[in-house]
Amino acid sequence: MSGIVDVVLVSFTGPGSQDHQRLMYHPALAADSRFRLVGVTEWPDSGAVAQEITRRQAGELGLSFLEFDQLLDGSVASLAVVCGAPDRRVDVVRAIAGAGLDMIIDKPMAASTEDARRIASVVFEAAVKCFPAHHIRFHPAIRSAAAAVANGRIGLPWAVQADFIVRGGPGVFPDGEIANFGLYPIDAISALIGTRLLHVSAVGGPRFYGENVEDFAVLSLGYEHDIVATVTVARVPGDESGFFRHQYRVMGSHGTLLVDPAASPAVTVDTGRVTRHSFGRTSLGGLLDHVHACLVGGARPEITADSGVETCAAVEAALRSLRDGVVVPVNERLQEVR
Amino acid sequence: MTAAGTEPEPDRPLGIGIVGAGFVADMHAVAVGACAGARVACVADTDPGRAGALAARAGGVPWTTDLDAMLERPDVEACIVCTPNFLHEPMGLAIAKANRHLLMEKPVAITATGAQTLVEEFDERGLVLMAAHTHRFYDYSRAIAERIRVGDIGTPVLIRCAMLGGWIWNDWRSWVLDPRLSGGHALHNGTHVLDLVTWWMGDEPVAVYGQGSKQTSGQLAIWDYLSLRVEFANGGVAVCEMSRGNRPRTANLRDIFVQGTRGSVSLGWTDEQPLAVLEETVQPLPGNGQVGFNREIAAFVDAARNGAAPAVTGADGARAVALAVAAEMSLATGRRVTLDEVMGRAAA
Repeated sequence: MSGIVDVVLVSFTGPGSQDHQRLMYHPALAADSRFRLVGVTEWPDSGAVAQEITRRQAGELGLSFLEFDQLLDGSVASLAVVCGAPDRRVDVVRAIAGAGLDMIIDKPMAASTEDARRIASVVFEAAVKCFPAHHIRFHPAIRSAAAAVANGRIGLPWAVQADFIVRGGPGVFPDGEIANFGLYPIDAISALIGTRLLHVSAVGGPRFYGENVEDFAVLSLGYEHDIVATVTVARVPGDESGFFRHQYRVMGSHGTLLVDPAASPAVTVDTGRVTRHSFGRTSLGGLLDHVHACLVGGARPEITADSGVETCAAVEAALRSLRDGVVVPVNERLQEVR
Repeated sequence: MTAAGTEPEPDRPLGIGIVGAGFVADMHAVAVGACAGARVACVADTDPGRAGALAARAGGVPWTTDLDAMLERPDVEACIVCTPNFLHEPMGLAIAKANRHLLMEKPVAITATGAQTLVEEFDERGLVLMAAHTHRFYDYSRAIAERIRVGDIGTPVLIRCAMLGGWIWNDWRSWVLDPRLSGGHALHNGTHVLDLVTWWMGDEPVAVYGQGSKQTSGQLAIWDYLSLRVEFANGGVAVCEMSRGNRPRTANLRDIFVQGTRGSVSLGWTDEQPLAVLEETVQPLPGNGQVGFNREIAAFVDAARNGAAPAVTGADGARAVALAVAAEMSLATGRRVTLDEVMGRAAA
């Protein structure tokens, strides 16, 4: 076995104006010698526009466009990176899993918790690996912090405070920024403290962009062992796009962790104008490290389709809380069942 | 403005009676001593030893164990109440009826009705009731307020304000640990943060969702860690943390962030004081906490003596109490509590 994983990129569309294949997965995989991009494909029922977009992207990137059926014979690739409309994910995943391919699925893993459950069942029955692209948990700052918590450096955690605020970018996500960003810090907190989310209360609204969906929200989360967390999620106006404030404060019985993935690791350059330059592994790079370790090295996946179900359920609960003004319980925990 | 039926004498220092001679009374006494327009006229405390000691430290002024006796003194034109929280309302009412101005330690009262009653009693008599929300007088809070006031960041939308310490009250005899006496931590210390975010937001709060923990000891009857989410009428939201259960206990973490419609202003943990990296801990060097008390007394004297608008009104104090009561209700029930609900209960 060479250790090189052959990859097919599935679909270059996504919710709203997102094209994570082009912006994220293709450049990361193309730069990683452990992966070999063998082609691009599109789900046959995705419509003419999506077909045309994906074919065009294949040409621009110098990759072969494959008919979806070619992917299904199982000899072309062993890993699929799945983007495209979330409401088609169940069918796409069923087909890919049936062909025995492992997969990375762009976030959100599915359009609903119900769909996420179907995906989890499909991949479980097909015995393939499914990695929802919760890459933020693989940022080196969060990895270090999570390891510190797991090793007892701060004792038993009892509260987390997190900010996930992005400046600029393509505008407000069509379904609101809870649906867009919310799962990242929720999943990161799960990585940090490793306990079950029990209930969610959310407030927020459209304050920065004047759209009809929330561009900022505050999520109040309650976990097992009475751990509490607050997460702010927002997209704020600005000329430069990127993380503006991305922090986690983990408070434990014997210490506190201040985790700032937006600020570290990075060097500061001052030429009259101060700029920060991050270095080291990116969060997506960390996800690829983990995927490779699982596919080639036999490591146990720490994120699975069940993780996608849990985050979908948390986001759905937050949206319901935002709509109804009540505290909403979250009842997902599939790993314990299997 | 005339208190106690005396004629105004602008050149004479305002005679202040300090009621309660515990820890915070010392800070107020020092502040009065530093204020050219005021002097400590008398100290009252039920413990004669404590009253006498503070009176001695304040320059050998008279002391008493009887509030009524203090209020009969013509040289006591105004009071500062520093007693346990549950006494604020009855003592405030006695002081209003004696026609004296009042700087009331926070919380103004431990019930929303009590706070509102005090506001009305002082208003009806044309007396100053100022809430001792000392944090409004420190440079850090004023710097945040100033950046908001000049319009740098537009209208505030999202505020995070965390004050995280590790000291708890000395032992189980401390009255603060008894919610019947203190009102709970949201009342006792939470009011500081709740008042600050309301001031910075410049809007009326409408609801609170409270989370917390009894961190220092599972035996606590109060939540010594508070995480309070406050909603405002214009849609803004503030996340307020107040903790006495953090570790390391000496770190004194503070985190302030205000996101407005056009930009943000923030003040991180190490943005005010030099950072000391010590064998036992890492902490910013402590600032001069007395400064806030000194400015607060100067503002109170200016209001009482010269009719200036109080820097923190009784209504501000009552609003903070209503928020804190809502927070305690939310902590107890696990649900979001509106200010209408609190005030409705107050009226019932």
